[in-house]
Amino acid sequence: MTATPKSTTNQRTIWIAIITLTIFVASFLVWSSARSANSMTAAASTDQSFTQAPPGAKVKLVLEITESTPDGLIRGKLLDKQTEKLYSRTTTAVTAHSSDSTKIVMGKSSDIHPAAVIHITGAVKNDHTVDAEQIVILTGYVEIK
Amino acid sequence: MTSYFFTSATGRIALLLLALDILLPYLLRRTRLSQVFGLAAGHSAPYLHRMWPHYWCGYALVFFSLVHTWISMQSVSMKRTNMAGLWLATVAIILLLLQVALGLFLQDRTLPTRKLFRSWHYWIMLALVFLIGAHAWLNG
Repeated sequence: MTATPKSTTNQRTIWIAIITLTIFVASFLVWSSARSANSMTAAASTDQSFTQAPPGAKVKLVLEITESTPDGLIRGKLLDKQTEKLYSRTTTAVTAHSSDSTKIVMGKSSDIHPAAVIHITGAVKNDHTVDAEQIVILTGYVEIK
Repeated sequence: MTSYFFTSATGRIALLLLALDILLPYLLRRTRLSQVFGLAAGHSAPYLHRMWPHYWCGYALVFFSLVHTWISMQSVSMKRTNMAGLWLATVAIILLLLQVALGLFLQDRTLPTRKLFRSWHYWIMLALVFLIGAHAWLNG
């Protein structure tokens, strides 16, 4: 079967569309990976800045979970950033609350369990607990000394 | 978190390439799908010569999968990741290499066991979809 000029043009258009779509999807995937990676590198609040944070202040905390309940209560110890991959334990206890509106990045809600390491972004409440807006699962990507 | 970025990006691109590599033979051969898109008519090159995008997409898929494996093994602590997902990924890598070997054999039109190898090529493709999908779900 011989192709007519019209069918050749159509075929070319479809192949260009497929290649363009592939490049577009690949670019989006790389961009979303970069976005997730950037959310991990956001500076975490220090021990002192968290304990002094007033109600309503936005904090970014890295903590090792000691207790988590199905209703969204998370308890843990604040971790202090040493290097990009290395954190040290502090004695500061942190209590946070997650809800259905809490965005979970790089994992699932089932990854929030004792011994997991998470990065929480949220607002400090009157009782000095944190209302988690975003939780990034760092387990496996950072080490605690 | 450069290691996370490269692990994530290479894994996602490998998934995209897997989907594209599965789709390409159905577009390059005379199938219902290629007829719908008007791609079936007017092929001047022999069938196996037309399949070159499928071959190169497959090689790129293996490249990205190996880079994804290498970076994640170098940087990510395996202690707290889902081990079942990692085992599925290990089997997938082995099958992916076997799939390339089968593909290279299938480039020979005169191969006596061609029909059998094509059948294996198809079933391994389905196994890869299951294994890589499960790995992405468990470790993604």
